[in-house]
Amino acid sequence: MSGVKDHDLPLSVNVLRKVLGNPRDVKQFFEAQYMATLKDLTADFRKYDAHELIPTRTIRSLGQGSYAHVYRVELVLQKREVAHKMFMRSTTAGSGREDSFNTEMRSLRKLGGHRHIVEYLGAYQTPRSFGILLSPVATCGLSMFLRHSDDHDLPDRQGIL
Amino acid sequence: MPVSGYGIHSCTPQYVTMTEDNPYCTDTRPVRHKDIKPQNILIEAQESGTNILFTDFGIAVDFGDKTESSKGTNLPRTERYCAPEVANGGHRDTRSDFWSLGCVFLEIMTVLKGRSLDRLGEHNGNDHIYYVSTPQMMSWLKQLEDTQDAIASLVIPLISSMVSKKAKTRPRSQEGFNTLFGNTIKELELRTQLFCQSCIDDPQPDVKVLEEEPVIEEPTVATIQSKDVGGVQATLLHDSALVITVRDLETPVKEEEQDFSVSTSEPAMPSVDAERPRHSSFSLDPISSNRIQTYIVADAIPEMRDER
Repeated sequence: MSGVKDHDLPLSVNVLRKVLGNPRDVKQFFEAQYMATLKDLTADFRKYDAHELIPTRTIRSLGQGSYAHVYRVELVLQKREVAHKMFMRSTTAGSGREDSFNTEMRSLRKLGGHRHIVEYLGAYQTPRSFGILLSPVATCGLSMFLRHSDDHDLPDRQGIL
Repeated sequence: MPVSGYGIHSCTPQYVTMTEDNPYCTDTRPVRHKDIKPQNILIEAQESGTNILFTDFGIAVDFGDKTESSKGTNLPRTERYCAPEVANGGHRDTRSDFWSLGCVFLEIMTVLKGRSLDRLGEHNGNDHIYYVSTPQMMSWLKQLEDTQDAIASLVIPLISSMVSKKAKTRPRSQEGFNTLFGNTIKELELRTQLFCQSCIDDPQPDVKVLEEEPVIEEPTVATIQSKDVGGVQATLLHDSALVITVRDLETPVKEEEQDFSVSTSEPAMPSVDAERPRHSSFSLDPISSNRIQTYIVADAIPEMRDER
């Protein structure tokens, strides 16, 4: 495998079969090579193919909406924590998820930078899912705040009140 | 800055700020959220203070797309905060968002005045759906009134007009909101308590009022916003012609190279007569020297589908 540089990656299965031979090595290399080819997620819209790695590390779930899950994640390349809204692509046609994703992406692009709108950092698509990256990861939702306004354990309550 | 009588201080200004700074009302940011509720409003504690943020634009309407139906009812939305006309499948516009925001303000004011949302629910006597209990909301607001509380005295009438069953009496733009509320506050001290500094510094007085969303039954002129592609603009006219104007005079785009990216919302398409012959003409605009190309919609529809 001499002479192979990062920018030659990813190598196809066929090439790896010829060079490595052993199917287990081929599989291992094939999967591992995507660690070296992480694409920056904070681009306007990026397409990933099935084997590529989305360069985020999930920290915890923040909640679930009608079409999407929201996670707190760390962007591996930027070392920055953001909110990641993930829409699983539906197998059934006519699902509203893709529409919802497109609507949200379009609206956020347009509203970009407004003081009272979450910031749109980028979006991506893989064969199985869509995702939108948002900042900041909020302290809490207004609903929680209204329901538990006398709960002194709420984080940063002093700051909010 | 503490406001006497609240036990809670600068959060009122922060929340009221939402409308003062309301993005749906300016022509430069023409998006209607359509699902305003406390769950979609985030609180971010910063060192410089607290910021509130709207999130979840998954069912928002882009006003750039004038053909969006204002009567579609198949989208998921939150029953609790939805405006009466939305629930009834009637005409809806920015004022429907102001209803939802009014409900949110009502909840905030309830908590600020030391009541719980459960008590508000009991008072309304229903499954926490606001649009079926407007009289109860009004009487609840009356209970919250407090002449000793300057801010409550200002905000409560505002909420009353926002949760009015008649959409006409609600504000529908930032300008309307200012007329109703912001501009009436002359005292600088109150203004600084109710609005954040950026809203006071930059009140955006010249914001144009958005036209009402057209109802789908009477499609007239639909503007298809072209994506940032070098001055190519496409206009879908109700006489079934798609006019594409190429603004770039330096490098006129050849007919077959024209790349008009059409926004992805479903436009209201007039039914197309399949028998009609395909036809396109190409002419030079004598005044601007812009190249204008006219397509019959029958030509444009497949291309628009491809774009989607």
